[in-house]
Amino acid sequence: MTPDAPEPPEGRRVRYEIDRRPLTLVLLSRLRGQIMLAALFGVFAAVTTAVAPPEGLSAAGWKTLCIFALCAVLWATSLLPLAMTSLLAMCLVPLLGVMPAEQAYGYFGSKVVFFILGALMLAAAMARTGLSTRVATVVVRRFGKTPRRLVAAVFLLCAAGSCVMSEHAVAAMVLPIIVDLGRALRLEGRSLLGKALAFALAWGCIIGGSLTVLGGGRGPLAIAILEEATGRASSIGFLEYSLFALPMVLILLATGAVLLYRLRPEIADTSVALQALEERIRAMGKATGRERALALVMVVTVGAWALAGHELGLDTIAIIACAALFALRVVTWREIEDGLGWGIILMYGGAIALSAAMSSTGAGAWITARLVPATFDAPEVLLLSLCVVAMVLTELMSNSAVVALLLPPTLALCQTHGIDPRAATMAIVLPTNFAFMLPIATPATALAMSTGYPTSSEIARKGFILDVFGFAAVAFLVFVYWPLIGLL
Amino acid sequence: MTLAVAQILAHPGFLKLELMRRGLRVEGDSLAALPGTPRFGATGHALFGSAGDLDLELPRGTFATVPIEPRLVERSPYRLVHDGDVWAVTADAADAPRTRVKVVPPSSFFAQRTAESGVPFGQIGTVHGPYLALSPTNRCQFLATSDRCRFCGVGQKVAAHDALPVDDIVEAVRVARAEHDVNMVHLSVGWLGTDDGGVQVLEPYIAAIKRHFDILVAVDALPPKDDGWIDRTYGMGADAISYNLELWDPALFAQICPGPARVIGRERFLEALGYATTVFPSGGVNCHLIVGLEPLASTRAGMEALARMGVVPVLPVYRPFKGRDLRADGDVARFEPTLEELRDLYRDLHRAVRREKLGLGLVRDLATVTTPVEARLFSGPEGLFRRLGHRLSGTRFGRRTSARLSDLRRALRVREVGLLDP
Repeated sequence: MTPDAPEPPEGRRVRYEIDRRPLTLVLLSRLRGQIMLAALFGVFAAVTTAVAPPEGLSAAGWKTLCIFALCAVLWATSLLPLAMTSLLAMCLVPLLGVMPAEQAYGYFGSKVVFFILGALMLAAAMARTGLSTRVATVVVRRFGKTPRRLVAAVFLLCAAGSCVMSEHAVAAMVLPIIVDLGRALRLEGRSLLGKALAFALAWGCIIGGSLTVLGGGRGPLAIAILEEATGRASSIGFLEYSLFALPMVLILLATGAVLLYRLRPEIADTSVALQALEERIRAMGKATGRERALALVMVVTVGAWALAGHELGLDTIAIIACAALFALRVVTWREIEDGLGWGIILMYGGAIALSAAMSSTGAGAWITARLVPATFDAPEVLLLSLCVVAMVLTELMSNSAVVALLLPPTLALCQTHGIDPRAATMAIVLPTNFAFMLPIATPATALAMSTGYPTSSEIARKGFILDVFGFAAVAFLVFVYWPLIGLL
Repeated sequence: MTLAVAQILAHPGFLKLELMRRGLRVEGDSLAALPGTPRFGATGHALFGSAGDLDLELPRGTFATVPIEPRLVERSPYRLVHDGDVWAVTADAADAPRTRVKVVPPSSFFAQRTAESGVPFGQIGTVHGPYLALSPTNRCQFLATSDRCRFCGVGQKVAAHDALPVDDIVEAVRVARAEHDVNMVHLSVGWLGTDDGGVQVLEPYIAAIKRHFDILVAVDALPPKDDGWIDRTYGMGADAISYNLELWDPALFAQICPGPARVIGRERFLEALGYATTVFPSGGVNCHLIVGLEPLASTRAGMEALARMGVVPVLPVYRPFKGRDLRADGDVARFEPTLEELRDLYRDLHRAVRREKLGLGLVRDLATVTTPVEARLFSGPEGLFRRLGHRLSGTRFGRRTSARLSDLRRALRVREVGLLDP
């Protein structure tokens, strides 16, 4: 602007892109979601009202199946947010007369929902106080003396972190550290060390998140669906879950470590990076009182989950821990409110209600009896085939959505095949975390790609190897480990 | 062939041309009975028009802003007469018929000042019936130099003002809309010496107008240096854009518009116009070619070429306006066409825009110009549906609908892809 030109008043300076395709095409592409939704709901309304239930299925079961199919499409396509789909399912169940409203909405009071709420509040507190970032930075600083040890530190830190808090939160917490390291070490886009750090972030989070129910929402959701489907006759405890998953996690950790080892770092000296981390730690100052108090509460909570989870309930321990945080003035309600993903909680409530309806109306049993071929009568073959379905689906949709989609019919199927429902639950929930291949599959992979080091084809290639080993690990569980510990 | 006075008075197209070119005498008791008091020689809104112009609504909803200042119209054969509240235009010829017209009372717009900065509305724009033109800044770096466009009457009587507060412009639109059926806000900006053609200055005003009103916004600017600014002009909310070449003949363009010719260049004008047709809706890009400043054949060639490019040619006649006596433009060569030549020109204009299927809804009801829509008056009888469509689009419902449809088109076509670097 020349000196004589008037200064424009303040305003947003937005960059625009013009879509020059024919307007009809633009309209269709912009309204694609709405058109698909309208078509979907149209078909849903027509099928539920005009089509008679198939033989062997009650009217309530047929309607439940229609709701389930509607939600399956919505979960898979994300035409509506996952949480909204779940809420919709919860209101459609009484609307179509499948069960009374009080009963349908009552499932929202599941203790698993409150366990998830408590776990999310604790994770929010860790993020808000800066404790999680401090721990991550200190650990990497302490153990990352050489490039390989740096990668190993990130890998194990992410794996360990994902055992106690959501793997998504861990990935988000460690990402800035990776970016700082890359900047300090002047890593280029094609840097093997950069790729190794990014993969360590993604794989560590994914693999570690499979070990405990705290690694993500899918574990608690699966347990809740299991409890509802079996009339609370069957459940999986905190330590049990880890015990069932441990060999698979170890196999995947070893596979990941080998793959990371094969990425030879192009530099030998990490002193610059350590210095950068040192500065980061210095900038954070000394641990505050509320960080120390939070650390104490977390240690006690995880211990209580492990030792008294069955007696007291995971949910009760989580809520009491949150109350302790407020009592100790570690966090304010506003801080927790801002950092809490309420959508996740809503999603689980609806999914649990739907799974209960599937179970109580017999819709789950009916559909699985027709979908699974008779040749899959062998429990191991059946579980592994379901595992493959879960692995494929989880690359394309949210892992919790896959659990909500696959587990109810699977549990119904397992009843008819005499399989321990806990084994069926684990056979579904563990592979739903194998989101190694596509960045869209899980935030951890997407964040790793956002560093700019691994390309999408590298993620897919190496992710495929991990998927194969993951399947082999589940096969080991099904054929060897679970029979050994009496689960199958 | 010479058209008879009776023919002219019976035809709103001819009458508008004649009144705009030759003016209208308002004398005796007609002057006294005229709503409001004409302020001949007033300098209040010299930017766009003067108080010496009178807004009339001629038959078939044809708006015309005609000069009435006595020193400019003393030789006009047309007179304004009245019988009570009924107004008519007639001529000096014996047995000349009377054509009923509506006199649009002088807008109170010109008597008010903006609340925030206290600038008289008349200095930031003008309103003539449904035509509202505003200029948030009246600076133009060509004005005080030899690069000044020879026909330009801007800025001679008023002080230059910088970008006004956005609220002032919103207030001006609100005041004008309260009195008139304004269907479009024309925002104009002169040469500011910037790569963006001045649209960056207009952006907050356009956004504010779009936020407050269901109304179309047209931008009258000079072509920007690169086409990205044209995308941005549309994205920020402009529904129509004018890059006015003014003269088609390259030599005359360089002579009469030396600033734009030297700094921007004729080729860039044409490039920008062509690019804008790929961004704006059909009929949303227009270019003025002034009739009477170059040979008619040149104007006609330009008109045809522009229409083929998808640009709506707008052909204002070089005439007394803005209170200026054209005799003052001594260094401007004149190629004054006859009324018959103008009739043929506008008829061909209408045929050209129809042939190229250009939308005309965005260039209508300009009281100061014979628009391509009004050119239909010279091209024979219209079909029923076209007449109905024209009438419907002029209603309040029609105006709102076209503004909303235009916004819908933008919502579909434009995607925000981030923020510009500060």
